[in-house]
Amino acid sequence: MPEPLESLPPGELTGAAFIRRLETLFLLVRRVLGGSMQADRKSTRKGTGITFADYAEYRHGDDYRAIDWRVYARFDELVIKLFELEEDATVYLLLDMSRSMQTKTAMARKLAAALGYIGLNCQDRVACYGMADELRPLLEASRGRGKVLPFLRSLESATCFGKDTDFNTCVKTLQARHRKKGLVVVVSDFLFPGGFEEGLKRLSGLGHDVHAIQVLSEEDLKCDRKGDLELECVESGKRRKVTVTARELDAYAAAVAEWNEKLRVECARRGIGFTRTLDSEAFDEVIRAILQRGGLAA
Amino acid sequence: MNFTSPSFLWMLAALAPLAAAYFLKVRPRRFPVNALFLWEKIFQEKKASSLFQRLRDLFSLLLLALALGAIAFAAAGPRPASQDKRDLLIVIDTSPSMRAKTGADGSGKDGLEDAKDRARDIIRALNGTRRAALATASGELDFLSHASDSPKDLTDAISRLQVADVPVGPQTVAALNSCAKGAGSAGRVLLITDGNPGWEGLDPGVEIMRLTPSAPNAGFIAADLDRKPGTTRGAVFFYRIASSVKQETSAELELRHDEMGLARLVPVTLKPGEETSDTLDIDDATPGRWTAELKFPDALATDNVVALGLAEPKPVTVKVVGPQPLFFQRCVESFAQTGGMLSLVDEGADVTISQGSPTTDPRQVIFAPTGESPFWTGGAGEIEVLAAESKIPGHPVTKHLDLEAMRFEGARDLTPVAGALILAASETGKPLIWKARVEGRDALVVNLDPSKGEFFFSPVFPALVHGAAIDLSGRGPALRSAHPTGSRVNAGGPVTKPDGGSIPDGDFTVSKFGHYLATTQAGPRWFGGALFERSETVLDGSGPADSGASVERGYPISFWLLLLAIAMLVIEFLLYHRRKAG
Repeated sequence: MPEPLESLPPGELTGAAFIRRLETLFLLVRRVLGGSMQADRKSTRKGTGITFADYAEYRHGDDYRAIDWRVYARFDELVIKLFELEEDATVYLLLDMSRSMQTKTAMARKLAAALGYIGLNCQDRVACYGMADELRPLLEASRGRGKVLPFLRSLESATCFGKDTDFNTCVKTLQARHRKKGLVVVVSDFLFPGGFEEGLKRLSGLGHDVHAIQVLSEEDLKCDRKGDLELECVESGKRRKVTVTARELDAYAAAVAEWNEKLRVECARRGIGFTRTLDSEAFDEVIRAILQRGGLAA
Repeated sequence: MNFTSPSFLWMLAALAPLAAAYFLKVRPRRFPVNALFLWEKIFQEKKASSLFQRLRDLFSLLLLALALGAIAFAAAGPRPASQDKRDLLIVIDTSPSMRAKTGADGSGKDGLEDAKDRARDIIRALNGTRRAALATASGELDFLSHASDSPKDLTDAISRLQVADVPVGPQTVAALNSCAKGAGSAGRVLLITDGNPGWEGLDPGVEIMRLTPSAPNAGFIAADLDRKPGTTRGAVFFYRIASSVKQETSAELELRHDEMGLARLVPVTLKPGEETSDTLDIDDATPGRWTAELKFPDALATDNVVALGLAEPKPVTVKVVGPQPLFFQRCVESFAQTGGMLSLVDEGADVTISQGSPTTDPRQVIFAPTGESPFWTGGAGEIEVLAAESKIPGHPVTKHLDLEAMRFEGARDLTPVAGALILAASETGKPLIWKARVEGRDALVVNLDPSKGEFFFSPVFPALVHGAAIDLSGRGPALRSAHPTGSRVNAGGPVTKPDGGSIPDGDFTVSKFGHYLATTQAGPRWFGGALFERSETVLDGSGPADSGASVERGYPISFWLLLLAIAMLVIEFLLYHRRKAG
């Protein structure tokens, strides 16, 4: 099992090398998504957004990408689609900071750091919360590049907390804190004793665009210990004695696989974007893969 | 139940620290997991065996405690209170018949292996409660170990046991009886035997443990090969075969020279309860090593083969001088005709027989000594001899003479030269027969006048002439073609044994089967060592009956306790391994 981490070593997220990697990702976002991701809801150009409002005649200088080619095909007229302006689109990052994430926290924080960095650079409002048995703010809703370093420092120095992860309570807290709809990105292992269905249902019911990024370690997927063991829950400290044979190992692997499949199906059913990754993978590769799939939208 | 070393029971005090150490040992390793709730389903499934899971550690501890208890009790040496604690002398019959295969069809192990197994079984049961000594009985009683309570020493001694070639003799029985009497009530003498004859006169104090009866057997109980009288090339082979066959059976007898090959092959019919004997003529018998073999698959192979020797016909040449040569010449001629052992010559004789004064010959027998001689002094008058006695019993010259019945008429009051060997003397100590060596000349002096007292007509006369001539010639006593093992032989020179070992000149006991080579003055002479013992061949089990005495046998309680401890430790190890390694 990897060494559990309470917080990241100084410089891990605020070092120049890491920030260069974040900048590379941001440039990739600009290139791939034309200066905005799906999360890039703040636009200085009139008529861009995500909520359709009306058509307008095309004039020279308008963004030809806004031309509705279907209308042109039917009526032989060039018209552009106008969208409602959304001045303060918000990205909510829910980062699992429970003790079950101790071994995977570096990966989770880097993913959150990358998403927050892109959001802040795209002039989105970004709010980041640590999630365990309660919701703890890591970055209050903020906008602008100036918030990048405080955000990264906050991520770097945050410690794991709480006992059992209570996802549902955390979602309720988020709901109470923020009325505004936005993009909610949950970075977690989703190994919640109380389950994830209620929380996901509530999130999507609130009208948020939701994306779940599941971060797992090899140890989560399969146990390699045999014999008499006293299993201790890293979150609650609860202990259970059990004799683990090959049969139990197979049963555990099957239970984990079933749990993960249930999460994937639940996300698909609710139109929630879903990404699964291992903590051993490179965080920027994970972000690239998300971008290549068309962003964080489901 | 008693204990030989009860102090070892203090080992049981280790139970408490053992239990403490055990619970520390079996305490499961702590393993942090991120999703304990996912294991819950597995816990639910395992609930069925949770009672066993809970009791498993206790069961393992119980196994360990029982193992420790078993070891402690084993170390303490438990023994039944009724156990016989007398020391034991285990005597194993190693006579030749112990080579015989057991079982009706001879497919079983041989008697000695069976005896070894029984002895080991008894030794295993010693358990430090009694001592045992080990001895073998064949031609003599041979002690292999002192009284010991160390099973290893005794079993090592048993492993070295081999069957001897010498049958059980009266001296063995006598020695065994002495042991039984000496042991009294403090010890036991146990004889492990195949129960065949040969133990006549055994003391009832010797307990008998009889082995499985032997398979039917047949073998030579007598055989001889000698020159045919009146010939120099011909020979006669005599044999006698005894058997314990249950029905009339055919076999073959081979007689062969070891270099020239097969000489005779004859069919032999073995009949139940009967001995088979015959005489075979061999026209051209080469001197040297011969072997007679009975081709018959039976229990004992060693009595089916007889090693024989046939001598080169080379008689001792004798010249007779003196006033009455006729009787001496007749005597020598008669020996020349019968066995070719003596031959009458005029010149260049090996031995000269003279009367009165000595001659200048190198070897001479002098009867009726008179006058001056380097071999004696005195002789002024005759002496009266009432009874003569042998001074060296068994000497080749006198061993066939009935000295007490001999009349020494005409004996004179002579004093042998210094250094003379007195063979016979009168009741008053006057020398009657002596051997002397003076200036390289040997003489055997017979202090009697053969012309008196009708000595020429006495049967002692030819025996004395023959013995004296043979002895002086240096040929030594006449050797038979084969001697039974255990018999005493003087071959007249050093002897090479069948195994290549050598025996110096003099009497020795024939202890091995096979061909012996004697180096005599008359040249090399082969003879054989063979069993020739009816009781070792007729394996009818008519020997001493089984005493039925009980002797503790088999592994002691300590052994089984240790075995139990090992088994429990193995089971516990497997359980522990399963717990630790899944």
